[in-house]
Amino acid sequence: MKKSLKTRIKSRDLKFWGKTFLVLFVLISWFVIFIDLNVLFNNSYQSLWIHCPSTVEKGEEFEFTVEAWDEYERLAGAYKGEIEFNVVSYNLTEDGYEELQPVDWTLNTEDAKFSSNFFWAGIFPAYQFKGADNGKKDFSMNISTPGVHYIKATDKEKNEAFLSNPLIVHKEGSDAKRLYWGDIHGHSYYSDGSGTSTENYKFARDVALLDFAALSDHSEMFPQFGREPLFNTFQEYIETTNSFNKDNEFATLVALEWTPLLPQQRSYLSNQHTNLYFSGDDMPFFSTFNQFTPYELYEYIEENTNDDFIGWTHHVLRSDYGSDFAFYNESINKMTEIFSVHGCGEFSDNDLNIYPTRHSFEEETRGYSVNDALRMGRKFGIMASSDGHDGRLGHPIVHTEARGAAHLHPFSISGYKFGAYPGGLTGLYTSELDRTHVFNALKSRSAYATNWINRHYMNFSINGQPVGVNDSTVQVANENSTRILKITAAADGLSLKPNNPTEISKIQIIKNSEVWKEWTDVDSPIKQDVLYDNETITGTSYDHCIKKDGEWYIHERSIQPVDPSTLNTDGADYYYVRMVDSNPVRPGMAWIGPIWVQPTS
Amino acid sequence: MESPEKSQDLSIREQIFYTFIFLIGLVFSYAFFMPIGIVCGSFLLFQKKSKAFQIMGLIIFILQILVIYIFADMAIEAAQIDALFRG
Repeated sequence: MKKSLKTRIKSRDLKFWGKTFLVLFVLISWFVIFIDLNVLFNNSYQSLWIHCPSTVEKGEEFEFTVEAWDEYERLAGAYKGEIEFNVVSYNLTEDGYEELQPVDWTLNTEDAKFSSNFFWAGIFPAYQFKGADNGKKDFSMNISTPGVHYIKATDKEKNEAFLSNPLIVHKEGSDAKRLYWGDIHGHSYYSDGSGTSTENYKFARDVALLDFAALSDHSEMFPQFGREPLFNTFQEYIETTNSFNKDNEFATLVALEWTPLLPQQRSYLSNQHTNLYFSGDDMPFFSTFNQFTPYELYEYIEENTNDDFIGWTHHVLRSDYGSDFAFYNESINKMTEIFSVHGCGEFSDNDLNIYPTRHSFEEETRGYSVNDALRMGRKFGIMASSDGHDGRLGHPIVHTEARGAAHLHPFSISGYKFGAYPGGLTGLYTSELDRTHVFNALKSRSAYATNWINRHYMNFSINGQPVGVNDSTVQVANENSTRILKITAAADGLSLKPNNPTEISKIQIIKNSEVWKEWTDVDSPIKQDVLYDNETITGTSYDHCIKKDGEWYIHERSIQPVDPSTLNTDGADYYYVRMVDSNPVRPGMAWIGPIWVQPTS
Repeated sequence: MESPEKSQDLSIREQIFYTFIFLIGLVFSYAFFMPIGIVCGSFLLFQKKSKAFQIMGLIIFILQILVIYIFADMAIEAAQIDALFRG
């Protein structure tokens, strides 16, 4: 009896301690993965971000903002430093640039000392606390000397200097278009993102300091029955977007992401995720539960709205949600998203792609990348967005070690907080900042892409015709006509290290999807050059179609048959420019183009 | 006298309550709310009235381990990409 009782006690102890171990194991594992004490309590100043408009006129008063950041690129709310300002200026010349002196500039804000009433460390975001600067302060300035300028901000106490993005001061009365910045791909609580739509737009406007923005939540995640959305959430989503749209201040676009599941189709789940953007203040509800292919989707929208709309795909090289560029509508698919938190979709070859897409295909996989699409004759402009799911539209921080922290505001139900790349932005050349002009600039491809929050200045023209004009196509007399390429680039001075402004490291001209010309070790903030191309114009074609069940497809998982003889550029060559900056940890990049050159004979 | 190891008959009210705890535990086993799920799972696992509900507590913990594994995998992938860029 005694032995039996002892055995029973031991058995009960074993069960108790086994259960206790299980509970502690899960609790500790959760803590290790989701709680970061440094993210929670360390919000101390590490660097300054100086943001100014990219283009102003001579003498025009403009506002610029200085943000003090912690090591996770969040506002350092307790920062109380005093800033000293200077302006570093350059003049563009025919064959390059020169330093510009003297420069006539005036700072119109006297108080350059930050105030703070923020004492919550990283638990709550500093930008939600009012009554003091709390890590973000606005200033006002005039510059009366045309040229390329950088505002230099120095923390007086620490003697740490940081540079702004390039500011182009045009001559008075210039008809040059202005350059505006936005992020038009992000997700909120309406689908699998973080934060309310209001929180996202406020962040985009007031903290990421964007000029335009759009949330593009997954339509499939709105409550719906049949073809109708339920509980008014879809209407609320649109109304919030419209409520933030203010002419000449902040433009928003009504947008939605169509996330195909393509049931009963071939062997894959969901290629060709597509964001749709509308010119007006409303849109019809659509989802992949009712519209199974892009062509069905476009047809449905055309039948249900009088507004103009454009749309394109993204994370094209993801092996789980890649592209299917066999679907193509020239009047709708005006752009493609080359960069986001998922990585870069430019080339499948990682030697050419600094940021290989997460969950990407094997390197030799053909038919998915942006350059394969260009080879097929798809006329896309290049833009970038964050595709952020962390509630920080315009400046996600999933590339920092704050990723995934369960206590990081805004809270999320999404695993996408574990992304590992910075997001991207789109720069638009347009004369006015309002919804109509933003939409039209996107539609005409008067745009370019950067990664992270870089506001690199880029300009690219062939025979004097810039990107976005005449369908980004230059007509030349014949295939041997000389083409004059002009590129101008000015790096964003943004750097996380003090006294170490970012410069241009490398510029490449990609012609027909191959590196045609490159400048390495540029090591200067500005690069301007003119090149002549006298090579015969050949055009390109896509030669990697595969045959299945008697029909041709662009790749193994495409569901749209194609005629391979149509997958070419119709004799046109195309060029785009990409720039890589000197950021030692994650190089900043910019892409502008393409411009197609079409012989008329 | 009944052994504490042996299951007791639960009243309807208790059964409803334990089922409710199980469902809450399942829902809150998702990554960011997991402590709530852990509390629910622990309650079911350590109670001695019903072996069936002890097993349901165990199911909650198995689900949580699966979720932790998925997120740990994502965290490791993110750290590997970081390492790639930092050389």
